[in-house]
Amino acid sequence: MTAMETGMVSNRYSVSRPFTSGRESCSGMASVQLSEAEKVYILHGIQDDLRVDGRGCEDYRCIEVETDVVSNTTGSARVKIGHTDVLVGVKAEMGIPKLGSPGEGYVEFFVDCSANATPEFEGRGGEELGTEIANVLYKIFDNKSSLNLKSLCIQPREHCWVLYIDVLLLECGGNLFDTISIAVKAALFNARIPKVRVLEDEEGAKDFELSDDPYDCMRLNVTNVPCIVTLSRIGHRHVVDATLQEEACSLASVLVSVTSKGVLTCMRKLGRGSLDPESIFEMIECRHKILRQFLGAIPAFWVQGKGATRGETSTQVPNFTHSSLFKDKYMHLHTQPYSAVCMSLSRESTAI
Amino acid sequence: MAVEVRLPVARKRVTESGLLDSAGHLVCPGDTITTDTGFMRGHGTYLEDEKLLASVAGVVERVNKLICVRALKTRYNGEVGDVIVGRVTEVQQKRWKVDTNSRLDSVLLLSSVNLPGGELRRRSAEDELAMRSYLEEGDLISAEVQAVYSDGALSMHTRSLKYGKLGQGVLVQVSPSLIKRRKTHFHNLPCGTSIILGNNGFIWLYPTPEQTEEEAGGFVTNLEPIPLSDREVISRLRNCILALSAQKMLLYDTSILYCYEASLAHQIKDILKVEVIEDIVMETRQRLVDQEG
Repeated sequence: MTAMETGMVSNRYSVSRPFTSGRESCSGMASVQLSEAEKVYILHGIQDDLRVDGRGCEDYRCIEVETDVVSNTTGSARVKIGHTDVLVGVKAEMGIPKLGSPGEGYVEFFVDCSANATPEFEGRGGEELGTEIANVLYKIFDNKSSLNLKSLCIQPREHCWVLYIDVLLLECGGNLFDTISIAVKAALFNARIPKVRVLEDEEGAKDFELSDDPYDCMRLNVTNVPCIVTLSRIGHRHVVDATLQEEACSLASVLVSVTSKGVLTCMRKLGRGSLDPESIFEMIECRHKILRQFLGAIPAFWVQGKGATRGETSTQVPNFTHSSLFKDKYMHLHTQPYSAVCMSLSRESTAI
Repeated sequence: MAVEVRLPVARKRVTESGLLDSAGHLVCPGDTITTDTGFMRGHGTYLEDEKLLASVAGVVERVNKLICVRALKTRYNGEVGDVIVGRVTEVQQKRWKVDTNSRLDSVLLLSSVNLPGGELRRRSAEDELAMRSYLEEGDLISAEVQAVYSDGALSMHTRSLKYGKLGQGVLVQVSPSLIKRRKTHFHNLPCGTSIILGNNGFIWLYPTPEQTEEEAGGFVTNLEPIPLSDREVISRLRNCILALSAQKMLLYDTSILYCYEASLAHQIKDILKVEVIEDIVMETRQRLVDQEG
């Protein structure tokens, strides 16, 4: 009886105040306060496929990518989407391979939330969000296909390259995950790892020789590095690239990481709301269209890069969009069947 | 559906040589304003080696012997009589705390709002208990500055039917220095939308209400869906205001309207692209100059 009562009360509560959302999993996320009427305005606009800034539900804001911005890193990139601003640096250092994979190097992520982005991040305020983002990044890179870790090995069991990927949030204006994934990909593309030769003398002692020539370097193949697409459920529709205001109206969002071939490497649900399987299908389908758009946009970026004044950046742009990226314009089959994904997702949502 | 990736570009200012001179004396931090010792040091300036230097980027203003620099990018410095738009951040005893983009939170006293019913009476304890039913955290209000305290905090009032709680619409935030001071800050634009240009840089865009029935004292908001045509106009105006502010143009009814008309050739979502901004702001500026001259 009491359980039923509480159930009813909470239900009524959710009906009368449909938007008291707050993202449970991202409690540290910078958020804005909105009045009920503003939320209703945003919600109705999304139903009409016209968002506050004039975009449709599946339009991205303009993405600005700049590479090679920090000179003392192996590779770096800065990406801006609207008011979201992210700086990523990749630093290659020599280390010892992990015991489980003696013939491979490895990647470490660290996310720093600058208090410049929002005062909430001051002190240890941004730590929770930083760890969460780092965990997502570990997860999307946790497969054999995204990055060829074997190429980072110098000597099996003894020496390898460790890539420290540091993400710095400079400004939060919504859609953090997508921005960060694009910045990580661009920084990895930009990375130039010096070539190492191993010299061995008569007694078996080993010595390393790093080449002085900055052009004698190894580039990473970033073709299969996945990008994240976050789809936020607002009302009965879903939007991509939500602004802070829209995120405040969204009860749940699905984060999908996909490679250029359409392979799904990771999927997560953010926020405390639940999603029914049908809407998840719909949202996964939507990612196909978006991916195709991404692939369409990047060649345009390339053409633009040619005319740009920043010599260094513009020469790099064509390679950032690795030529083989365009070969597979049409999606392949997924590594993970839909049903399995939905099962795991619905389990997650019902658990909440 | 569209995704566009670009390289960052340096911002170009669409200026015409004639306009810069009329803009007055512009200074950067550290610039010498004067070496004459006969002047008094005002806000935004400091003295070093008997020279008066600017400590902020902005326009030099002189009142007799007093020299001040008014910053271009600043928090809002309130003045009595200003129209402002703010967001309620806290409900306290007998007062609401309101975020108005100034250095300190502003206050709206329970005694300086019009309560439903319209009659003027002493505020009772019941009114105090019901405060959250009038305005709660997150609500937007329009108000007028009633007093400025010695620490710079503002006290506001909404004792007029034109002020009060705001309903459905869009808030745009720009620098307070871009809002042109005019006789009226409430406008019904001919494109079917109304606008409140808050002196604090908060601009509220909303569909023009058909009938103003003020029985509830303006505390009841209409949550009916707004037609798509109105939404399009509001979104376009929002992007136009952001375009004008990106190019540091003063915002008032005429400049916004001209920019709106210039933008009609473009799609709403394209207005925020750098090249389109330059295009439409140039056209707006030209029309404003023509109108003056």
